[in-house]
Amino acid sequence: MSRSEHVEKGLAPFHANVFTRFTLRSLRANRVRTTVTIVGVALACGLLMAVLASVTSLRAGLLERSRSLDGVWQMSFDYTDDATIGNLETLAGCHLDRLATRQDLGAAALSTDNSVYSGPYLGVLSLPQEDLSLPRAAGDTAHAVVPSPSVEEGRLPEKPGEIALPAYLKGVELTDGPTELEGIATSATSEGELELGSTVTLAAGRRTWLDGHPEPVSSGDPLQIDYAYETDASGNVTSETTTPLETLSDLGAPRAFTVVGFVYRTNNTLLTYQGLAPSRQIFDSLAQMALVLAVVIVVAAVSLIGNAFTISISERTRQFGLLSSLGASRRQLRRTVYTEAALLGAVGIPLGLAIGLAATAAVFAVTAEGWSLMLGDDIAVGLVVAPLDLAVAAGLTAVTLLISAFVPALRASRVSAVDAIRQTQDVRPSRRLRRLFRRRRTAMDDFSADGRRPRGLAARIGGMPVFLARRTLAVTASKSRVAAAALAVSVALLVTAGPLSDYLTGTVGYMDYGNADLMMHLSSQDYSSSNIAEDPVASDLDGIASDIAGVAGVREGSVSGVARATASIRLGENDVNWRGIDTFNERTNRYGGFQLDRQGYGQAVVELVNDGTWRHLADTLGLSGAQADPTSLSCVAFNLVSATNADTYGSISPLTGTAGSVDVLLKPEGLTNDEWLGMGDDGRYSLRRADETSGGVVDVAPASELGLRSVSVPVAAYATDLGDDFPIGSAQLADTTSVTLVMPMSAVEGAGLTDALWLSLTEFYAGFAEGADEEEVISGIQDVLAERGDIGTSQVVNLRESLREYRAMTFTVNVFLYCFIAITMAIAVANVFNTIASGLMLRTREFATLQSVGMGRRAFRRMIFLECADFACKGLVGGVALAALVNWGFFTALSSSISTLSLDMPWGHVALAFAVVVVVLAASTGYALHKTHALNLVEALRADAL
Amino acid sequence: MDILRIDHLTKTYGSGDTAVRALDDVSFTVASGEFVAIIGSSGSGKSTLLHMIGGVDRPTSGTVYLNGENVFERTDEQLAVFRRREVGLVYQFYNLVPVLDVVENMCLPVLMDGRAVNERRLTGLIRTLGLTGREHHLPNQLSGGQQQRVAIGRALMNAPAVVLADEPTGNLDSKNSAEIMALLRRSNRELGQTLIVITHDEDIALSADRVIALEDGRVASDTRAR
Repeated sequence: MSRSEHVEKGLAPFHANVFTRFTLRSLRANRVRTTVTIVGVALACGLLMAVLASVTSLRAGLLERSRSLDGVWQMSFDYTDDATIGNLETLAGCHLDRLATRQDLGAAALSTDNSVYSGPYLGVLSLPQEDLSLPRAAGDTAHAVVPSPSVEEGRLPEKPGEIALPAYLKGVELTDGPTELEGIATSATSEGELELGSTVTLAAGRRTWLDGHPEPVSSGDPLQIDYAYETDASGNVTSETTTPLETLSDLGAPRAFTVVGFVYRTNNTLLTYQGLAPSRQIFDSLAQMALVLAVVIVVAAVSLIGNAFTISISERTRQFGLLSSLGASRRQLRRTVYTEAALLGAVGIPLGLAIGLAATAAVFAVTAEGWSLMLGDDIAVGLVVAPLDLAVAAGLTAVTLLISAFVPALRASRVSAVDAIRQTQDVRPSRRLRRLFRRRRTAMDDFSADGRRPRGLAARIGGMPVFLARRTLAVTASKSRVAAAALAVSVALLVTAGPLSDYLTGTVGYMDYGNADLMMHLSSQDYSSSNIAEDPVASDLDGIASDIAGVAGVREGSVSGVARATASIRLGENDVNWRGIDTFNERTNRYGGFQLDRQGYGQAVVELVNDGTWRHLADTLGLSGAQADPTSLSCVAFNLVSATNADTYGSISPLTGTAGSVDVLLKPEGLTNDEWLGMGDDGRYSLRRADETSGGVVDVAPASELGLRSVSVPVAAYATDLGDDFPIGSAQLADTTSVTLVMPMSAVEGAGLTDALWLSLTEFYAGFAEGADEEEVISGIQDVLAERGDIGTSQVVNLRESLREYRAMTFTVNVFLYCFIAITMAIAVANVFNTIASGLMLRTREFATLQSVGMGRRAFRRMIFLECADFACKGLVGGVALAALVNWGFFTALSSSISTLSLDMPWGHVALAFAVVVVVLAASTGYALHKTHALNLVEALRADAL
Repeated sequence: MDILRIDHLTKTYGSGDTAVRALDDVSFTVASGEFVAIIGSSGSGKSTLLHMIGGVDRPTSGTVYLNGENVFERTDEQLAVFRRREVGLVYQFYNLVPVLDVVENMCLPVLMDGRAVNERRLTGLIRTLGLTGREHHLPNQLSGGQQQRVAIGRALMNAPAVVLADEPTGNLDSKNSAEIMALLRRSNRELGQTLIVITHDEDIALSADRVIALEDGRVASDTRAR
């Protein structure tokens, strides 16, 4: 109260006229509505500000990242002589701010052995050098034109004879020997393993095309060289013969260099390079979403503010009429409304800008970790305030206010004094109602045949309250339509938030590894063997597992070893769920359908586990006795295969679960390297052979006719979930095209069954003990594995770190998503409140009348409830329908690429939306009825007075 | 026979210093079929008295007996039923429901009660009120006089024992005023309805059987026409 008085006094000297005072009074008289409107203006403005500031800030972050990583150059070109560069400087003149040059010193050929790291060449480039004689007038001087590579160890070369090598060559010996290039000998060698101070000898030449094409190949270009493929007449590749298309020419004399540093390559596709490409999609999606939301915000804001004005004006129709009868001109009346808009804007817009900026800053602060994960380590996304954004947000809100005020202002100026004094309420019969009444002739046409109730379905169903509510809605439908639509949109946004968040975080991708924190992918030095017995890693699962378990900081009992292999199996006809397999084959043709033929012959994925893991699994599944013993032969059949395609999401169980055992087939005698067992062209599991002459594959004979010996493996259990202690999650296990069996390695070895299996890979999993230093544990494990000497390559993945990153990204995405939805919801709520509360307040007299002619309170409440329920239904049903449509759209578009996405209606969100709508309607109605004293008849009847 | 007995009726609005005594120990009786005019300056308690009789507001103390029954012994729901059956209220500002047409407005009390609309009575009223051809118009398509006639129709539709009118002609020109009063008088005479009218119009007051003057919430005079 005292504040608005203050405002009034403060403004009085400038606008000491009756209309301004009139406006201020009416704003003060309806304090709640004024507050709701100002909050609406502020929210709309703040949300616009937040969207603009977010986009600007993100763009600034990305730009910063790109500049610091790739430099600020805008154009590059190759030149071969100094005259060209001189010409360029002359031609570009003042448009050339900065210029950096980098010399291509040629490429040296690496030996075939060394090519495995990153291709057959070692490209030699000079450091980029900036031409400091240029003016640097408008250039971005904060970053280098082309940044020098970043140094991992040592320093950059400073004088002739020094060289910095790519970091991946550290510890590698550059050996002599044949190269992948025909007729070219190795021209990059080192004495011993490379380290700081080592000497490398390079003879660099130019990469040129073998076909005589004159354009040289840049030494910095793709690491792999191009190969030609032989093709048949129709253009199909018939062989993988590798004929290089290029060679080295003009090889210089070998020269020795001292290694002074190891550097990272600068890379302009860092995101892709680091496997973070999917997060780019997130950024793109966010940008699109921001655009969609901005449009929604503007529409919602116009409807909210416009609504508030319309209501404010119609409430004051009589006042305007009175003013008009006292001699106010139309212009003066219009100005009254614009003054109101200006006052609301003067308070709402600055408030909104402040709220928007503060909220954006807060959101970026909370999500900093996620952004730096998505965009690269050194990139901080902070709030960037561009004056243009401020101007756009403020301007757009002001325009919204003006548009919103325009129609009410026009209406206010047209209120006739007579209408105002006659005080007929502002109900004009809708066209539908007029048509309805036109068809009625006699007085009794208004009633049902027995004359007991009004005509129509509504009265038949629920009597007078329903009839009255229905009639009111029919007449006032257009007024509430905008608010109902805004409510529907925000309900849809809220409901879609779940799937949207799933979709956005699904693109980040995360696999479930149960309780495991570390995944170690190990392979033996000789990786060509698929025979378990010959593989020192797979054949010593328990040995390696206990070595890993011995490392300090590894959680006790958390180590498991899994060797994945494939085997040929035979199943009884009644043991297979043929309908499920048909469904699978109908829905998806992944890798040629399910790997099982009608005779029951087919392939199985066998997860061979170490003893400890088998015991854990037996414990989880409740197995005991011999079945829990890892040395006695049995298996667990994982009976779930994902059968998701673009249209449907689902899974099947390939087995009926009745078989007591599975026959594992031994390999046929004398199998050559060119032969294998697989699904034949006729759909039967067959012995297949690569045909040298035709280059194709021929089916030798179906497996059923090979007379294969088999070993019967008892099935200990059928399962669709192997528990959190099993390192491979159900979703991963189900992503297959064949039967999956889990077996204890010890028993398989004991039964001599290893010969029946083809090993594909071996992995170990472990958990961190509480409080363990993750880095130390990882290096401890690496040391232990290196000590063994029989392990060729080991790759240790910190799953806990991946999970953290995944969570940070998910969190970031969700914070943005839910912030926007919350604010849009708030706007819709304010809109609904205004519409409902004001709509009811305007009808005070009608309510009083109804009660004074004998409408009971219960009936009255029922009528109001029905009107609100109608509103809620429109908002909810519309919103949920819209959400379902969007949800379905997402699903059809993305289900093929995201396996975690499912076509479920997010009922939790629907319930939340329902609760929000109910609370808002109840609050609005409660407020309006309280404010109007609609339930206190005498006061309501008195509300007559001006 | 007394149809209405007002018994020490007192109504106070607000409390403490701001308390206003709108009615102060008012008592009188009204015989069945009587036409009573209530006059008094503004703020004298006329409307409050009418609201009490109509069961719209509850008194602070005292009570009203209609047909020997205590009106305020009823619950709020029962009072609503009382309003739709026993009394007919007519206001200065018509107070029609804007979304209902003429016939629906008139029959509102009957429909609320869930009883059948008496067709003869309805068509008779429409004819008497001069609303023929206007049956399916909405209130905003009618003139002030027509709207007031609809309001009277609504009050008479249930053939209530008592018709209460709060300055029914206050908003109308003299020709319309005369017509409206003639209508009310006619139903008062023909149907034997008790009619209580608040008015500032001397002509109306003079045509009444009895004039009660209120002053500061008390009965200042109670004059019967000779």
